[in-house]
Amino acid sequence: MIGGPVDPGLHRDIDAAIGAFPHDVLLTKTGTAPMLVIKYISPAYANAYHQPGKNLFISVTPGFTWGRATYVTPLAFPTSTAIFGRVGIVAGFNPYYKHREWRTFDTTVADNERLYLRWLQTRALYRRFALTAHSGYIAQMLRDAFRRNYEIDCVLFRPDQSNPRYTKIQSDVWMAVTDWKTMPGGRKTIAMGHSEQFTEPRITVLIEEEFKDQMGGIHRTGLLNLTAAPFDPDLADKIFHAYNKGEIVRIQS
Amino acid sequence: MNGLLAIAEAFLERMTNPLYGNEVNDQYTLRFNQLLAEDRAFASSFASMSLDPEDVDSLPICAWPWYLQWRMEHAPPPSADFLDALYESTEDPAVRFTVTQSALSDRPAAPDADYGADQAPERSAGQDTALSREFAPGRRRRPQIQSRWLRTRVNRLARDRDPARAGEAEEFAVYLLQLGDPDSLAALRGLIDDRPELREALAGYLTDAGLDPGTAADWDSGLA
Repeated sequence: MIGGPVDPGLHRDIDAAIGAFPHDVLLTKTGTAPMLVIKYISPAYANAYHQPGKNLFISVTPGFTWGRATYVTPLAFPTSTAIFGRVGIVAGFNPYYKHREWRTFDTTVADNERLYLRWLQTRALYRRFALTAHSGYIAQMLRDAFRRNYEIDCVLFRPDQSNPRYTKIQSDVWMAVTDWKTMPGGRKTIAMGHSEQFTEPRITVLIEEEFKDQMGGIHRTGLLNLTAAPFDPDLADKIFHAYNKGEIVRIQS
Repeated sequence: MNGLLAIAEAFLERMTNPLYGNEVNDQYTLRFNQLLAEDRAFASSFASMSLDPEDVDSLPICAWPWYLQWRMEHAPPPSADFLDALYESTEDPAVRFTVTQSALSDRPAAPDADYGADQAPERSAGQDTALSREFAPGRRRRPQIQSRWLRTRVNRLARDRDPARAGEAEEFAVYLLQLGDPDSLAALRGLIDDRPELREALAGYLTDAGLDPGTAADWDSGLA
């Protein structure tokens, strides 16, 4: 066990809480469950995903919720992360990557969230995390340590940045997916660079709206807000079909 | 001045400085990954770049934790002199912790080891949390510390009795405890051998952390 001391009871509880990927999070409003995810990015460098052969990238941004990972949402929540960029990249995935079922930690379950908090509070660095201005970096280190220690391939969590039209913080599910890297000497670590967990990423959605940070990014305000109309309930399925046909769905502001 | 770092400075700042916001940080991460994928020679030279103590100021401080972690995947760590200068340049625990991590990656590679594999970790049967499994009980020798930087730092902190730097050894001990891998714990035991008062300080951490008494006692005795 790396990462310092852990009570054996807590260790067992965390280990028991990590399970198979829950396929019900893929269920769309019309009842289909495509094994697809969506990631919104800025148009600045999105053009690369208009060609085949690219991979999604692993985020290293300290402000991201679960550390160094590839952040995506199941297609069942098609607009949930549109607040991060106008270009929606859709990609396939398989939670049985390389003959090993993803070990998934679902923090949308309150009991699991509590387990992580208990683990966090017993870290030697916790005081630095809680009582200094270094919280972003140290939080990322601790979350990476947690995922590494428990060999977690995927964390499911609720949105922590939102816009009420696009994101439902009570019900949407976001995913932080781990790529692993073997270091000299055999030690496994969380990889950086491009993710190999997702297949055939392709530009499939274009959002008209632009967003800017408010409250340090906790809220993402729309700049145009031309309509407040709800999205088409079939949107996820339309994106699914567009992805399969190599088409693009355009979503109005 | 390192020309590569000078050119990279503004780019890496936008990639790693939280003041630019997640959106900008992530956008530059994407661009960086695209560059690396398209130019392997650049990736290789950037990863194995020779760094001297005077290079510490070539990048904003927020970029160094990212660079050191990224480098760990691709190449051996920078020189001990550079790591030392970076560690001493700041009291930021994120930077110091990452310097320590980077130094720990300075170890002889297994003959078939490389920096390229990407398999998920094998589940280790019977994995447990007790420090006593890391260190067999009984009489022991002074721990062997493989990393040169780590050895030097432990020796320096063991000798340093300057009251103005009294907290340095304790802080370093916390990093090693947090890292918790066998090399870190060996270094921690080496430090405690020379500075036994640190054991008491760490026992305070273990108690404050709310560990159950058995686990805390196990770790405390394991560090003795």
